[in-house]
Amino acid sequence: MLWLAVVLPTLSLEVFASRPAPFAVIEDAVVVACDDQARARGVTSGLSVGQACALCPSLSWRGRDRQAEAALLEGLASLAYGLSPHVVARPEGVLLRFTDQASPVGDPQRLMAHAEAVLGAAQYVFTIAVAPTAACAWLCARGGLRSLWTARDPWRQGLRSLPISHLPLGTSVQAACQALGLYEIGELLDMPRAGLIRRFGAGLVQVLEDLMGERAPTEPFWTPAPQFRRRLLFAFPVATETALWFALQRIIGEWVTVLQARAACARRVTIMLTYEDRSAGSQVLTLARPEREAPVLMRLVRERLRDLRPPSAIVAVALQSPLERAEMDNLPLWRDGQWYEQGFRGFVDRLHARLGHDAVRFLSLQADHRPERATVERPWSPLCGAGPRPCFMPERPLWLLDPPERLAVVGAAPQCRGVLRFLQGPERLETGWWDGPVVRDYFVAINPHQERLWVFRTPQSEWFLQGYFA
Amino acid sequence: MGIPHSPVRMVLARVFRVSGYSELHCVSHFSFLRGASSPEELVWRAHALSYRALAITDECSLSGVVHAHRAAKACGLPLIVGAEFTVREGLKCVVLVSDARGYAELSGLISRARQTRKGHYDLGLADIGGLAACLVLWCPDHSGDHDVLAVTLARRLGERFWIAGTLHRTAADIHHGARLRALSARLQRPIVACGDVHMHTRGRRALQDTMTAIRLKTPVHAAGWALFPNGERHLRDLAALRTLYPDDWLQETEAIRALCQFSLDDLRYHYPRHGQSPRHSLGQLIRLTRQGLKARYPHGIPDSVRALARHELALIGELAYADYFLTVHDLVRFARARGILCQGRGSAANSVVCYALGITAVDPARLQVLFERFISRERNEPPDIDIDFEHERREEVIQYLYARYGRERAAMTASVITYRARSALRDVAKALGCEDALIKRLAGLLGWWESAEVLPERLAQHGYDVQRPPFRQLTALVRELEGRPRHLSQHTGGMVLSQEALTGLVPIEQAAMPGRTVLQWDKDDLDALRIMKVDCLGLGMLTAIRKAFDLMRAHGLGPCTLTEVPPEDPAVYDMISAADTIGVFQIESRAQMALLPRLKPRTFYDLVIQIAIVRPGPIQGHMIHPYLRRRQGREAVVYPSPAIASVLERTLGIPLFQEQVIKLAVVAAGFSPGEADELRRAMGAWKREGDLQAFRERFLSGMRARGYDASYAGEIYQQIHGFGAYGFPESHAASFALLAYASAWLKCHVPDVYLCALLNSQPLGFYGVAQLIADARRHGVRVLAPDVRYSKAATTLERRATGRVVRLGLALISGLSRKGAQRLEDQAGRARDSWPALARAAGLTRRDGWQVAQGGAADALAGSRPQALWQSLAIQTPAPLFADPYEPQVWRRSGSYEDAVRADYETLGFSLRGHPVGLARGRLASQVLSMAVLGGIKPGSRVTAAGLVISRQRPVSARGLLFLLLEDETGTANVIVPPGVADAFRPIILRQALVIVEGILERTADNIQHIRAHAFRPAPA
Repeated sequence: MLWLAVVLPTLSLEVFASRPAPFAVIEDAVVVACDDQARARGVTSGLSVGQACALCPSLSWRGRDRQAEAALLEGLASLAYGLSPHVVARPEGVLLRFTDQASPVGDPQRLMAHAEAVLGAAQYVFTIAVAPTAACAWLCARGGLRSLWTARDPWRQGLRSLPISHLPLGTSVQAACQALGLYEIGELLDMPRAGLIRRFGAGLVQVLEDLMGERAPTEPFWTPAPQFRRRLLFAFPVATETALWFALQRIIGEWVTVLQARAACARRVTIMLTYEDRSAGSQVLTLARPEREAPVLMRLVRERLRDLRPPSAIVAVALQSPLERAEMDNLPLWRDGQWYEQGFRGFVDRLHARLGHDAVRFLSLQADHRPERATVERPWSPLCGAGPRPCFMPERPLWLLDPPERLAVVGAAPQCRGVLRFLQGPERLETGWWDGPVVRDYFVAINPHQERLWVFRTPQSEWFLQGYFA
Repeated sequence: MGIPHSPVRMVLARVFRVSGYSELHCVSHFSFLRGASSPEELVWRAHALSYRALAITDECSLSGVVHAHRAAKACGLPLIVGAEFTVREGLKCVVLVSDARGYAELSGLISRARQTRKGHYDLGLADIGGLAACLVLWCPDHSGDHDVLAVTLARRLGERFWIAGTLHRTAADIHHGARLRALSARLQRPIVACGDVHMHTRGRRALQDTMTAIRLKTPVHAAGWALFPNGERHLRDLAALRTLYPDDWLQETEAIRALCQFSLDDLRYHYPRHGQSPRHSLGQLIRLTRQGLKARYPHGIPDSVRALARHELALIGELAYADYFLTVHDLVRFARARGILCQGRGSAANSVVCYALGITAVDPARLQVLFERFISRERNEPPDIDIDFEHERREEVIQYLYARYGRERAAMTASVITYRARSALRDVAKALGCEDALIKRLAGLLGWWESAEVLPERLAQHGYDVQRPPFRQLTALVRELEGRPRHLSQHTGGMVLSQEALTGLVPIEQAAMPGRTVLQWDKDDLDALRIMKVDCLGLGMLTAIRKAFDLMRAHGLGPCTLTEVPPEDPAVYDMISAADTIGVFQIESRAQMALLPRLKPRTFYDLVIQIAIVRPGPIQGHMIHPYLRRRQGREAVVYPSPAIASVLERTLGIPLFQEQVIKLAVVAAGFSPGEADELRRAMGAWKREGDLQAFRERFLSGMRARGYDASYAGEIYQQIHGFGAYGFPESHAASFALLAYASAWLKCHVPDVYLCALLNSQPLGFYGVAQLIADARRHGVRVLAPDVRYSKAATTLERRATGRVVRLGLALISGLSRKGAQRLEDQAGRARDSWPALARAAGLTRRDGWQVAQGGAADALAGSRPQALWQSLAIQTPAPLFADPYEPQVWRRSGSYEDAVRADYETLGFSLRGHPVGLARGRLASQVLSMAVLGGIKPGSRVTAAGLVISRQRPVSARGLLFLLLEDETGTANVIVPPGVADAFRPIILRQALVIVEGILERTADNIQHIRAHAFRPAPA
């Protein structure tokens, strides 16, 4: 057995594509990584932002982006998956397992060189090491040793002289080792294990056992994200919707079988089409609620493809969808409201499918006194409508003009298709000084056409029409 | 702005001029993070708008009323006292005081409501309904949920119940107005116009919104409907009010104003009575004074003292302060009986009576006392006696006062915690939605002492555009928020005692500290209403001196009390003059040490001057150098008249003390003593009030009239100007000088005893434990490291055949719990065969055991430090059921010397074994000099030295210079780092513990030396 460890030492920095120098990444106001320039000014990880700024006043920073890091690692893992089917993903890199016979590229030297070439081509900043145990390979790679030890080498001996500070131990254990005058791993290995367990708990001994290969590795292997993916090549390019639909029906049938077999459902679907002129197009569908019923899915896909105008004949069609854990709420049959709601949701899904996700929006209340910000359009979600309400709902027109329309003023009296008569007011609004000051006196007015209007006056005595009541 | 096309109403209002308006619902910034204006601003504005009266109705608080009262009295506006409450049931009411009975009722109500968690209150509807003398305005909300409750309340209160009609030009106004009228008809009670005022002008809107956001812990942009929709909650002008409110609502404010005739001046406060009558109390005081003087002057009372005593007692009798003196005397007697060292400080030392009663310790025969500084007829202010107690035992004194007078008659003075620029910056930035990291960075731009004025400049320096949001709003709001109250805390030691229940006078709250109660008024409020207080302060040095005397007694040494310390010992003054004063009270700071070799104190009075002169007042008044020149005989001392000579000859013609300022105004400018004291106070407050001009004219013309030439008068005026509050009274300096002398005597003659006492009284003074120990060792004191076999929790003095040695206590080991140290002390003499056995017997936790071993206290018992650490790690609590399995002695190494020194530094902060620089000495290049040899090097030479960075300071006054104190195994050196160098070597200076500095050795004429740094290097580890 042979393990190859790949560690990305500057992962949290790498996820920021363009970074001004000196630069640091912070989490909870503590520096977690910094670039060489910052390091040269004395910044190290573990410092608070305040301390780091005191050392390096020109320091720029960004908050740690764990999501981007996870995505980057996911990419690394899938790259590693191409080298070995046994990949362990860790927060800082990956471990690859090779059986002695099963290495695709022969001896360990070539294996390592090959891995380096592949990773280098993908432009990762990494350190690498090969060793007979996962823990040992990881330790060496984290220490930046680039060592290559096989079971035939005296690797156990080599390990003894490595510093304890490389071991994945808690800070208190590290500090205790230092206070005891223990610096090398060999010194720890020589201690009676029972005594170590009594003092430091079982964790330390497990680390040592992992290192020496005395314990079976327990970490699960990485598997690619579960998803359904089918691609159909047409023998002859097709140009009719019927032909395409025929192929899609087959794929969807298969898809639904998989969904049901895995007790999964779909929330997001991508349909990819390849055209004769080698161009490609894709359609993404997002569902309002997870689905796995064949008729529903077929109807949605069909709605989406109805208006498709392919640039040329289609040579291939593919459907791809992540398999999501099904949490189907089995709806009670006897509540009409729920059925109505489901019907409404189905309607929204169809609207989505036909018009695109962003085209369907809902108006919801927002806590702000300014009329132009008192409502907000949101993409529809099942939670729409629920939200806080003010203790007193003032009378507001449903139809707002954006921007408000300036009114002509004749002898200090505003005009809007005739002279205005004021019914209510003034209602004074003065707020928003932080991002859009509003200082206005609002009136409800009526004009000779019997239109009920919502107008306001500014401190400069300008008049505007902001809305219609009817 | 009204309805534009309804001028009819305007005309009507003008024709039938309605009567005036009184605002009856108004919160100040003492409703923390709600009100955006101070009570003074509100009063001034209300006065300017010709309001008939103003009510200050802070939420369950009377903290703002004294401020408002002072301002209202000054401008002649009637003030109504009140408070706002939101009761448990959700109903909001304003309670107004109509007469003295109502005031006591309201104060009691607030005290009751505040008997809950600090900063909160709890009150039920029944409490409001039970009010028998106060007026209640109910503030109905829009929902109508509380209408039923209000019916009950109205029935209970009858004629004393009103409906508060509040309109703010919102969309709800029409509905609300109609609803109020319906309620009025239903309850058969009138509506009164109210403003629910939160600020004095509309301009405070942004600050008020920001405060709301801070209170709700959310950014302003997310605060939404919690913010007010407009700025109408300010004091609106009468025209605007008349267009908004019906006349009958406005007239009702007049009716209520007429009912509210109470003024804070009507409050009557009485000091706890000791005799049956004031005459009787005075008789007691005279008797005690006479006895005290006899004891103080066993060889006969000097005539001058006798005359002073007579003069003081006459004034005390006239002003009826005898009970106050008897109370303080009682307190001091209690402390003495308990063996708690105490001493009066401040202006009380100007009193012979205080000296006779044992409150102060400065012999009036040794000083020129000035009783008017303490009590004056003109000032008509209660005397203020400050007493220092041992800081560790002050709580006993406070609890004695609570027990003696009862919880309802004794409480601590409040101290209003206000926003400083930095805290304001942090909160405003958060309210403006800045992210945490940016807030931290911004807060780092300001020192805690700096004001918001420098903020725009700082922001610009660091590349923030102050013209753009959010920095534009940030700077403006921080400036507005700075100085506003944030919460109520307790004053360091001011106790108010009263004959009657205090709650009738001022509400009492629960303090954060258990067992303490605190008034809603601060020191200035109490002064304004002439309420007397006793300041019980904690002073660490008294603890140290008492502990030193205890040790002296235990070891058969003398003296054992303050009075027994031999006065005017030349050896002590030699030591002081050589600036060998680390650990000595008051004269150990760097500034003091720099001046000592120049001033060379030889007498007690020199010491008094030394203490008073290194103060911001004399420094700003440029008095140090003239005084030094005159003292060294380099400048002639001339007095323009014998009268001035009599005042200033003690200080060579330079006014150094507050008393001299007062006397000077009397003898040279013709002020009465009381007026002169007012001048001093005005000077202390000139920045705020700026009414010094009148005094200045008076002073200069008075001096001219007495024949002094204008330039001399101007010079004297300049010297005392800006001095007032920042200078010491002579009496105070003298009280401190007594302690300084006593501590210097101890350090000089029994440095081991003194070290022991200082270590057991930490934290204290300017220096840390490490520096105190190093200094004592330099003076030949033998110090032994903490050892579990011999050490107690505290540092002790051991008697050996070869003399006394100081055995450091286990309490010095950082991270060792107090309980752990005490348990080890209790085990002394037993279980000494092995460290694990001792640790088990003492029931130590693993962490405590580890810290003890890390601090080297178990080295000797375990054989070596690594062994002790290894054994400590095996400690199990509770002890395992079965005996330990056999464990081979795994440790064979003894551990390195370097590791031991490093562990000492980590755990103790020092090492008796050696110094890190000493360890590294072998690896340092030969040109790196030790601190000890620097003294022999010519100034101006280029030197290289290595040291441990003890402190880094960047004083504001030093124009960006950074001061480092470096220490090596031979001594310390000051390093001055110019800004350019500090910038270039920032990582080394800020992060390395051990540095090598290169620079030029500089030495002043007074033999003070420092290194002016050119470059830094990290020292080899």
